[in-house]
Parts: sequence; structure tokens; C-alpha cells
Amino acid sequence: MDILKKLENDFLFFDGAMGTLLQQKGLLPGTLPESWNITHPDTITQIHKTYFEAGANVVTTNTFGANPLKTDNTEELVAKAVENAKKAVYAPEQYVALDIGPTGKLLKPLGDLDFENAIKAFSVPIKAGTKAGADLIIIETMNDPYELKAAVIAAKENSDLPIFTTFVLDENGKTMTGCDVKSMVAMLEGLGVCALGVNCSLGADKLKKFIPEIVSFSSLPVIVNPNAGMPVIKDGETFFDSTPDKFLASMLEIAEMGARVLGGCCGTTPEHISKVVSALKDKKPKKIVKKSITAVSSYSKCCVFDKKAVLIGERINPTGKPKLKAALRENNMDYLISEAIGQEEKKADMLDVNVGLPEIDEAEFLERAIKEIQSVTSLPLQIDTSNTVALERAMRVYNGKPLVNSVNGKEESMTCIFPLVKKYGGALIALTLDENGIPETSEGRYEIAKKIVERAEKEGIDRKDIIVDPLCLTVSSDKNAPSITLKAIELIKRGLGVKVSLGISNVSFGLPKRDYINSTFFTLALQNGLDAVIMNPYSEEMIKAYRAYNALVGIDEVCEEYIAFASQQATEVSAVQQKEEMSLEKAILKGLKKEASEITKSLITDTPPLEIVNNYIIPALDKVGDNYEKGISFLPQLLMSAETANVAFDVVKEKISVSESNKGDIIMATVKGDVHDIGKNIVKVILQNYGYRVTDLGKDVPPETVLECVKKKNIKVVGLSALMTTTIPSMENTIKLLKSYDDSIKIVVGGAVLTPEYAKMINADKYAKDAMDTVRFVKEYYKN
Amino acid sequence: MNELYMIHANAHDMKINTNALLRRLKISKPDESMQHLITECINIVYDNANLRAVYRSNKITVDKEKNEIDFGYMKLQSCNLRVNLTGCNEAFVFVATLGVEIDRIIEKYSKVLQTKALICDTVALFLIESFCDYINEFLTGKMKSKARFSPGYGDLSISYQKDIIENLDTARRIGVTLTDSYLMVPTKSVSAIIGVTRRHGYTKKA
Repeated sequence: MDILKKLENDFLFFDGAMGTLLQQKGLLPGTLPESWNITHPDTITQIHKTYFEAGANVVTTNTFGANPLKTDNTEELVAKAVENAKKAVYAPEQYVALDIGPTGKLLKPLGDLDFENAIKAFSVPIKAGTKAGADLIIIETMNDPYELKAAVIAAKENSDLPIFTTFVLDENGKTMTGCDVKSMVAMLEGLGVCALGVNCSLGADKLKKFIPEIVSFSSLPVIVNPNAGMPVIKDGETFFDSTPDKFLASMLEIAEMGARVLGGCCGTTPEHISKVVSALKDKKPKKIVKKSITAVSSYSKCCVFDKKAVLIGERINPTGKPKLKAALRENNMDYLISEAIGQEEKKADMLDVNVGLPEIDEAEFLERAIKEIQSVTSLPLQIDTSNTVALERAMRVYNGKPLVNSVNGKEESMTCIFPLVKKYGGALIALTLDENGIPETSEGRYEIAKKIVERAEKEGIDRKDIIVDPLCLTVSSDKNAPSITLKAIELIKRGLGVKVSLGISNVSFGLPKRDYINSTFFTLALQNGLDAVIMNPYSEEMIKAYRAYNALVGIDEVCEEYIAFASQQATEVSAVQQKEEMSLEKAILKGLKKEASEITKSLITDTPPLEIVNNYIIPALDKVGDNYEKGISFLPQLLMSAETANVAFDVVKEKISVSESNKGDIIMATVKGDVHDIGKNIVKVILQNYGYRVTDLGKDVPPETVLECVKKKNIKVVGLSALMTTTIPSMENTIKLLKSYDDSIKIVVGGAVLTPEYAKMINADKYAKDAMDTVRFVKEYYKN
Repeated sequence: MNELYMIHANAHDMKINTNALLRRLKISKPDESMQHLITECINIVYDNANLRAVYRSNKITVDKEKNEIDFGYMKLQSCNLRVNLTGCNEAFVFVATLGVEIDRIIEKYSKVLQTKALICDTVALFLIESFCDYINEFLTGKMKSKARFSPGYGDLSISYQKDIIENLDTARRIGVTLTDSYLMVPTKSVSAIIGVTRRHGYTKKA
């Protein structure tokens, strides 16, 4: 019988540990277990057979560590492993699962493994195992949702076998990378795996408390393959579990909770499995209830569309934002990053990311923007683009289940977007417009929504993943526009049972004090059942309306959130009132950002911008720099002042062009192999303070990328940093490459392990001991 | 892998020496706002650290000629380590980490609030150091032991990180992995060897 068919009605039993049994058979510590596939094939077959005899339906191949990042002859190891396992099959309903374990590397940005390279690495055993005749793929012991996503994509792209996946939870119910159950489940269901669950790490008795959450959130068969227990020392005491009988007791409870695929991990033996099978083989598993939960996720946060409306921050969108446009044109990620962090602080639940500008390569930029933003915020992202190439690249590298903005009723849109959602997973914003434009009636918009939902379901996308946006036209040009939208919200929710979202701001277009209109319309829409809103989290009127509404309708139980919000507003007001007499210089010296911003704002009303820079900011900075050089103040104070000066600069920059304020350009990079760039970022902020424009290439930067940037921007000053002795050769290579291209390029180097002598040896022009030293070097360069 | 043991600890049980922290940050007299910032950073790091370690202990044999120490499951070559282990018949090898969230936080702040990044980074260094002291104390107790020794010290090649990481199964047990340039990630992780002298016949497994 087909394994998925069997899974529809029955329990499925996986085997237990392989490693434990191999050790009993004489595998020496330090020997690669997978090597026995070739040297001891009969032993491996025998172990599989013992598990089948114990009653397991599925044995997992001895390929946990077989991937090209760990083993040289991956294909051969995997092919042999599948062959050995297949030899053990002696009855119907016995299946061979190709075992895929983690790479043992951490993915970028925290580690050095590139996402695409992870997909490539997983593809090798998947191709080999599929070719050798495995019946299914089990991707197991995963800690990082990003790595798990890479493995699932590799499986989808290289095999048609059913995909089962399990991840690892610690006692806090999270993976070691901080991902919770809901986020994992949302992502995996989106990717379309056949079964999901947990394995390893904890014994069955400790793992069981997390099973109800998985079962209640997922509509898929749930897998539970716990350890037999591990020696863990806590508060000086050692805990051990568990005997086959204890294991059985917990596994019975787990089955009762609704898990349907049961087996074991480290330390479990055929005896453990046999006990479980004997107790359950004549029983039927609990029925799987299909859930209609709308959810999107990041690497650690799951956003569920429930009673409380979801706030989607709209600030990362160039429409009407000249500063963001300029940042995009300059390929400057810092602005996007600060917008992301700012909106998170303002308590947005999700962030919209739109970087569409005619003059930039949107596909490339959007992919980069997604990677950068997800490295600084844990909020789930809404990928906002009409460019399908850009959309696919962004969905692929997104770490979680994204919200896609948007599909509409046009044939072309549905044909392009649905397959991407099917492949990478995601929820979709569906706009109620089609080839004939936006219908003027609520009913017309409902019909388009219905068409999209039905078509999506035909393509295998559940309606829970469709969030309809019934669109809102401006009230100043049509007085009925808002009520048409409000009625459409009701119709769509009632008629289709889907979630509804709105981009609010359009309603007030052309009117003064737009927030007044927006916030009242928002309240009305909430009253009609709105589930999500794309809005400006900095808008006080909107947030006031939202908090007050939630309190009034009982969503904010005991008004806790409202009170927290209101009392914060009160403290901010009194802090402003209490402000002492303060000069800009004093604010910068003391690192008081809010004050610096306010003083600059009031100065700029009657002082020319450049005068503020030259007469106020620069002298203050010089004083800070001087204090630092003299040892009166130290790096933390220098940095605080630098950050504060940047706040003042930001105010000034609104009045003067970038070119006016730019004293010169420098490219900065942390060299290939180094994944830590705090030092480089410190130097960067100080350089920016002194008016230099820094093109920051980030960390782990290959020499070719630096050269490419030098050529493209025609910048002749480059700063490189290296943290480790092992990456200095990489710095040396970068210098070699740059100097061979153009000997006049000046290179300044720094970093923990460097010395002036070493810098000379690798042919750098300057060793900078700290940030101020770099400033002096760059100043000198541009003086000449 | 039965001989691998794990230690979990709560960051708030680890002491922090604020004076030493200020010295390391080179702040002599923090004003109110700096003091506030430092307290905030200490809280951020302590609340987000996930302290875990994995260790194993084995008898060691030393080949003086070759400067080679055999741990049973791996062999390391180093004159400095051999000297450090003089008189020891056993060694603990451990890897400890603060977890990946601390890296994320420092990464985030280093892009927007460099002062916070710098202070959090320094606090995290202090915390992993105190966690190592805690582990050291826990493992060796009143036994006669040597100072902790790590790859990268003296002539003990940093490339031995690979042997330690693999033999302690750290990726699976505590989430510590190695980059191609032998940097441990999460970056606030430490690997170390502690030589001890046990009386013959006495084996206390913690």
C-alpha cells in the first residue's frame, strides 16, 4: 500500500536509534557511522531487519551525516545505505525512509553557509537516495527553520517522494535557534510536506507536553520520535530516563493526544519500538481535524490572524518617500534596516517590504532587502512586489512563511502567483480587481474575491491562506467609496469565510490631516470585521484608534495593552516638559538623541543647514574626538556621541542634498570567512559622522565583490577588517586583487588580530588602530 | 556517544563583576545615562542568553616525543598543551555557549545602535567567561586540576576546533557549529580542555 494511503487511516511506526546499535556492534568512536554502509552492509541490513521484526513500518537509512559538507563519497554512501535497507524488507507495508540530517553548519547571516549552497548540499543525498529507490524522505533533527526550508526545497526540486520532517525542541518548547512550534508548523505546512513533528533531544516524557500544541495547530499527521532520554545535568543533579516501559507509557499518552507517526531517536532500541507497536497496532489513531488558521511566520515568530487585527507596517515602500528612494538608488540598506527596527519598536506585528523603483534591479535588491531585514527583526514579512521574478527570489530566501502582496483577479496574476505559493508556501493578499478594473459595487468586489478563492483552491492553496483586500478609493472623489468598501468587508467575510485586510491610507488622499480620516475609517472597518491593516505604525491617531477599539470590544482583556500604551504617552509628554536648557553641543557630548533632534529641528528654522553642520555639529564632534584621543572619554562615549550627531545630521540632511554634505567616499568590508563585523560597523558610524559616505559591503565579503564595487563606484579608498588569524590570508588576497587592478587604491586595515607589521606584510597602506585613526587616514587622503 | 554529558544553567545565577566590566569598557565614572545604558545591556544579555554546555571526560595518554595527547577519541599535537597537562591522567573537554540569540542581538544593534552593540558584546564576553568558570568548578570541584586550555592558545592549532566540535556532537547537543575559518557560531562559545589528576581506581562520573 502507498505509505500516504496507509497514513490516512493507521498509525505508522518508525524505527529507533541506529547509532546506539552500531556502537554495540563495535563501531569505534571517531568512525563515521555511514562508512559501515560500505564496509559492513550485512550488519546494517540486520539492524533494519530487527526493527521491522519489532513491528516498525518504516526504517530510516544510515545516512544521517551523509552530505557533501561532511562526507566525500556521499552518493555512494547513500546508494549503499538504501540498498542495505531495502534488503531488510520482507513484508508488505514496510518502507524505507531516506534519512536526511542537518549539515552541521549554521546558515548565513549568523554562520557562513549560504542558503543556496545548503540547498545544493541537501540535493546530493536526496538525488542519490531517490534514485536508489527509497520510499520517502525523512528530514530530521532540524534546529534551524532556515536549514529545514533549504532541505525541503532540495527535496521538492529533486524528488517526487513524500516528505516527512521533524525538528528538535528543548525544554522551553523552542528549537535551539529560537523557533517556536507554531512558526515551524506554519512554514512546513506552507511548503507542503506530508507529515511533520519532533524528534531527538528530549525523552518521550518531557516531549509530550508540546504535542497538544502541534496537534491543535497542524492539519497534518504528527510525527513523534523521542530519545530514550539523555543524561542531563541540571542544578548539579543528573537525570536519566527511560526504560522501554517508561517510554511506552509516555508514547501511549502521545498517541492519545493525536500523534500518528511514532518511533524513537537516540538510545531507543527494537525493544522500545516493539512495546509501542504491540500496544497500538490494533488501535486506530485519532482523527486529524482540518484547521482553518491563517498564519504567517518568521524564523521565530508566528503571526496568527485572529480576533485582534494584525498591524502591517507600511514604511518600507518608496511611494511618496524621497529619502527611501534615495537610499534604494544608492543601494543603501541602512535606511531600510532602521525603518524595520523602528516599526518593530512601534509594535507593528508584521512589515511590508516594497523596494520597487523603475531604475533599480528589483529582483536583486528585494532578495537582498529580505535577507538584511530578516537579520535584524523577528517580525514576519509581507513581500510586496508586482515583479514575479523578484517575488520568487524573495520567497525562496525568506526565513519562514511569508505574506505575499499581492495577487488579483486577472488571469495573468493568478497564473503567475499561485505556483510560487504552492512551491514556497505563503499566505496571499488578494486584491478585488481584474481585467475590468475595480468594481464599483461591494457585490462586484465580492465576486472577484470568490473567483480568486475558488481558483486558489483548485490549485491546491487552502482558502485560509487567502486574505482579501477589498480596496478603498478616496472619499474626496467619491463620497460613497468608504461605505462600498465597508460593505464588501462584511460580504466577503460572511460569504467566503476568509480573512480581510485593507491598505487604509488611500481613503484620505487629497485631504488635510489625513490621519484623522484614516483612523476613524480604520475603526469603522474594524467594526465590520477587518482582520489586518497596512498602516503607518508611527501614526498616533491610528494607534490610538486601534488600542481604544481593542479595549472597547473586549479583545484587550482588562485593558492591559491600552493602559500600557496610554501611560507611555503620558511619560513622553512630561519628559518633554521637564527638558532642561540644553545646547546642541551638550546634547551631542552627552549622547542625548531626542534632545539633539529637537534642538536641531528648532535651529534649522532660522539657521542655514551647512552652518549647523560647521558651527555646531563638527565642533562638538571634534571635542568628543579630542577627549577620546586624550583618554578623557572612551569608545562607548565616543559612539554615543556619534550616534547622537547622526540624529542631528538626519535633520539637517532633509534640507541639503547628499552631495553637498559628502566629503568623500570609502568602501568598507569585513573579509571573507569573518562573520563578525561589530568593529567595522563602529568605524563606519564614526566615518559617517565626519561627513564621509561609506559603502558598506557587510561581512564575509569575497575579494571579487570588493573589486566589483571599486570598479562600479570608482572609489579609491577601501577599509578592510579581519577578526581572526585564519581570515588574514583572505584579507591579503583582497589587497592583492585590488592592487593588481589599480595600484593607486589606498587600503586601510584593522581588526583584533592585526598589527602594523602584519599590515605592512600583506601590503596594506595603513594599519588603523581604531576608528579615529581611520578617520585621520581618510581625511588625509581627501585633503590631497 | 553515551559518554557525552550536558549542562544547562541560568544566566542570572552567573555573577557579573560590574567594576571589571567598566574597566574593560574603559569607563571610569559613568554618568547617569551611561549607567542606565549599561544596566539595560546587562539585562538584555542575561535575559536572552541560553547557557548550555556539553562535555566528556576521558583518560589521557601523553607521548612526550611527539608532543601528542591521546584522548581516546582524538589526538591533539601541541607542546604547550602537553606541558599544561603534565601530571594529569584525565581530561575534561567541554564546549559552552550563550546561544544564538545573543549573536542576533549584537548583529542588530551593530547596525543601528553601535554603543549598545559594543556594551552587549562586552557583557556577553563576561558572561561566557563566568559560565566557563562555573563549569570548571562544577567539573573539577576539589580535584587537582590545570588551567583551562583552548585551541588557539600557544601552539595548539585552532584547526583542532573541528575535532572537538565533532567529537562532542555540539551541533546537535548545544547548537554550536564551526565556520570554514574555524570560528565557532554562535560566536559567544568557548571550547576548553581541563587536565585533572584522579586517584587510581576512583571514577566519579558527575
